[in-house]
This record gives sequence, C-alpha cells and structure tokens, in this order.
Amino acid sequence: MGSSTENSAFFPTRNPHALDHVPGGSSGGSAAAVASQMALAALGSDTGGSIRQPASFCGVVGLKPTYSRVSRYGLVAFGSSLDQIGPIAATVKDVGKILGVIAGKDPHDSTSLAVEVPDYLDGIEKPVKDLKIGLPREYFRAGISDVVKNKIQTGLKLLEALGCQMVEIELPHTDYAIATYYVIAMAEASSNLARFDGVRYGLRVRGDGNLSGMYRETRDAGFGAEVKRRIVLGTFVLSSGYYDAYYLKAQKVRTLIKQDFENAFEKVDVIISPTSPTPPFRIGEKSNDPLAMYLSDIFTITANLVGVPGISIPCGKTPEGLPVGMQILGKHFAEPRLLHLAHVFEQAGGFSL
Amino acid sequence: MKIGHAEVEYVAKLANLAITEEEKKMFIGQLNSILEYVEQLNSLNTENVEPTTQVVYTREQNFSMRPDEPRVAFSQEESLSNGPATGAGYFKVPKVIGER
Repeated sequence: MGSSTENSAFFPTRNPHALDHVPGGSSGGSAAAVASQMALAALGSDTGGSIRQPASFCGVVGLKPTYSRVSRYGLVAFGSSLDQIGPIAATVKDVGKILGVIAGKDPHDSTSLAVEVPDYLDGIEKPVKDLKIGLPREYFRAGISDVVKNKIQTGLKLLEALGCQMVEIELPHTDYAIATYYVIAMAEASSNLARFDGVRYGLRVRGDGNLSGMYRETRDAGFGAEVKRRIVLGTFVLSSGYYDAYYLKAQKVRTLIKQDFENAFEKVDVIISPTSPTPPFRIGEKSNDPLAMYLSDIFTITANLVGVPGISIPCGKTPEGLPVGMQILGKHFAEPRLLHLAHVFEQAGGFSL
Repeated sequence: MKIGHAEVEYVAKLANLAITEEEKKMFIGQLNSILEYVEQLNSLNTENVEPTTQVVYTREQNFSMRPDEPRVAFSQEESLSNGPATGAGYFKVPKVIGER
C-alpha cells in the first residue's frame, strides 16, 4: 500500500531503471515486472493512481479504466467507490488488447456496467485531427519538478505538431482534491478492511482465547503501520460526531470536483498533465512522512474521485535515466480516445523524447 | 489537536486494532497533521451541494438492480476452504459465550 511499495507485506520492489529508486506504487511490482520484461503485461489496481504512477516511474503504459468498466471480482477491496482494475504493458496496443478482454459486465460485481465493449484498437492508427487538449492551470502551477515540466512540455509540442490544439482550462477545486481523497479513501478502506478478522480466510492469531482478543491480535499481526494508520483515520472520520464534519463534507466536495471535470470536458476532449510531479524518488526518501507521500498523488487521485479513465504513457527520461510519465484523462468511457491519442504519441516517438 | 491518546485508543477499539504505545505516539502526530491538512475543506461552502457516493450513474438510474432469483453460488465446502479453523460445516471461533 502507498506510492512506493515500501509498505509491502513482503519486501520493497526496486525500479528496473535505477535499482536504488522506488518503482512507484501500489502496483509497483506489476509495473516493474513489465519494465524488466519479466512479463508481457500485468494487471494493477488503481484507487488513487496505483496503476498510472508506477507505470510512469517504470517507463511503461498503464491505464485506469472508467469506474465500473472492469469487474473487481477477486480484488481485495480498498476504496470501493474509487477502485478500478486496469492493464500495464510496454505498448499502448497491448494495453488496449488486454482492456478489451477484461472490460464488461460481470454478474459477480454489481458495480460493473453493461456498457458495450468496443474494439479498442479500431481506428487507432488514424491521425489525430483537431483534438482539443485541456491543460489545467492549477496542475501546471503546483510544484512540478523542472525536469518533469520540461519533458511534458516537449511532449505537448509533439502533440501540437501532430494536430492537437492546446487549451488552458480551470479545475478550481484542485487544491481540495487530496484532502477529499484521503478522507473518502481511508473511510472506505477502514470499512473494507474490517473483513480481515481471522474468521473466514487469511491469518488467524489465537489471542488470549476470547473472540475480540483473536480479532485484535490477528489484525495487529496482519496489518502494517501504513494500513493501521489508514484504518485509524478512516474509523475516526466515520465515527459518531465526526461523520458530518469529515466524511460527508468530503463527499460534497467530491461533487464540486466532479463538476469541475464536467465543465472542462465541455470545452476539451482530453486533459493532459504529468502523471507524477516528480521522477521516481530514492528508496527511503519519503517513507517516514505520510503526508508528503500523499501530496505526490495530486495528478492521479482526481480521476478516481470523478471516475474518469486515465492513461499514463512514457514521455522521455531525465538526464539520470529516470522515466517521466504523461497522463491523459478523458470523459467516462472515453478509453478509445485515450488509447488513440497515446498510440499516435507512441508512434511519433513520444515515449523516447 | 483533534486526536489525543483517548481518541486513538477509542478508535482502535472500534476498529478492533491492537496498537502499541510506540505506534500510538507516532499515529497521534501523523493523524493530527493529516486532519489539520483536511481542515481546508471547511473553507468551501457546500450548503446546497449533494454528496457524491457513486460517480458513473445517478442514484435514480441504479444499474445494479437485478431480479432476485436463486443462483448457483459457492458450495459450503468451497466457502469454508480458506478458513483458518473450520469443522462440521462451520467456521470455528474462540468461545463467545463463556464464563464472564
């Protein structure tokens, strides 16, 4: 759990491009396996960027589909109104192919929708014409490292040369997204993780012989510090007396953030930003400061709050050889458009700018 | 400070979490800084804003409804197969009704 794999139940994963750096997270193992060619493709789960950020850090392609596009049957639920499964692969076409296989209605997941699954590779080779790309003013002002900003701007110039039009847009509630996200994600996580009680599956620690002792000691042994911190905070914001002030408030702000995106998508076809404000960081560099770690999720979490699809594609490397990722967001069920634009960018050499 | 010793202990009890003194100290500091950060939401007026719980369809649409018909699910044996302690078709747990 978290954006570095340093809180893994097993051990941290290393970034194949620089072994002393993190691969991103939480699906950092999936992204590293693809980047190191141990796997052709992998699945990840994305609650706040856990497919896109590791794809960005490992220099591969990662797609978080629209909420409800892919069944979550079999996934350990974390934030039920945010979680989505999606593919990670080396090329856009591979990602599109796998999405075509995993998308669609599943009777085992009542939140999956029976929206038609198109051929995601259909028309992907066509040139992009007159596509309007929204650049959120708020995203490009907030603490992006120079090297990332530089690479993204080079990528945007390439897209302009390919026939896209850049439009500055506003997402006025961006500053509130992280606070909103963490209240909602931790509340949902604390509730979802209640099922790990040592009764029906997983670890059991006997405790002092009574039922509540067994619950407590099982959960103590099975959960790491990051998970416990999230459960404590999530339980707190849901507890009587604090529910309205934190959880309900966050759900209302979520509506405002959603409206920001609806307004933006009236003016533009897609929204582009860096996937992460920084290149991969060193192992151990941030793991002691949870808030700093959460803040680095600024560009990815809004897609989960709003339910829209987002893809992270490689956009060159820093002088040290660390991958930089570009994120493209679209309307609900606009995966074909994201894959199309990403593929055109890939074919034009955008991945190795 | 929103969260002190008493709150962490109370919440940990609600969540069935055993936490050490050391973790308690660490959490108090970290949780207060997170909550302080979350306070910024209060600067927004949300008086006439509906909460969002589900993002893709509206409450009225509710695509999750289906006819309530019996379906084949896991067998009892399969359902019990991951249990850490089972027997006689049940999950076993420590004594609930007891001496006290």
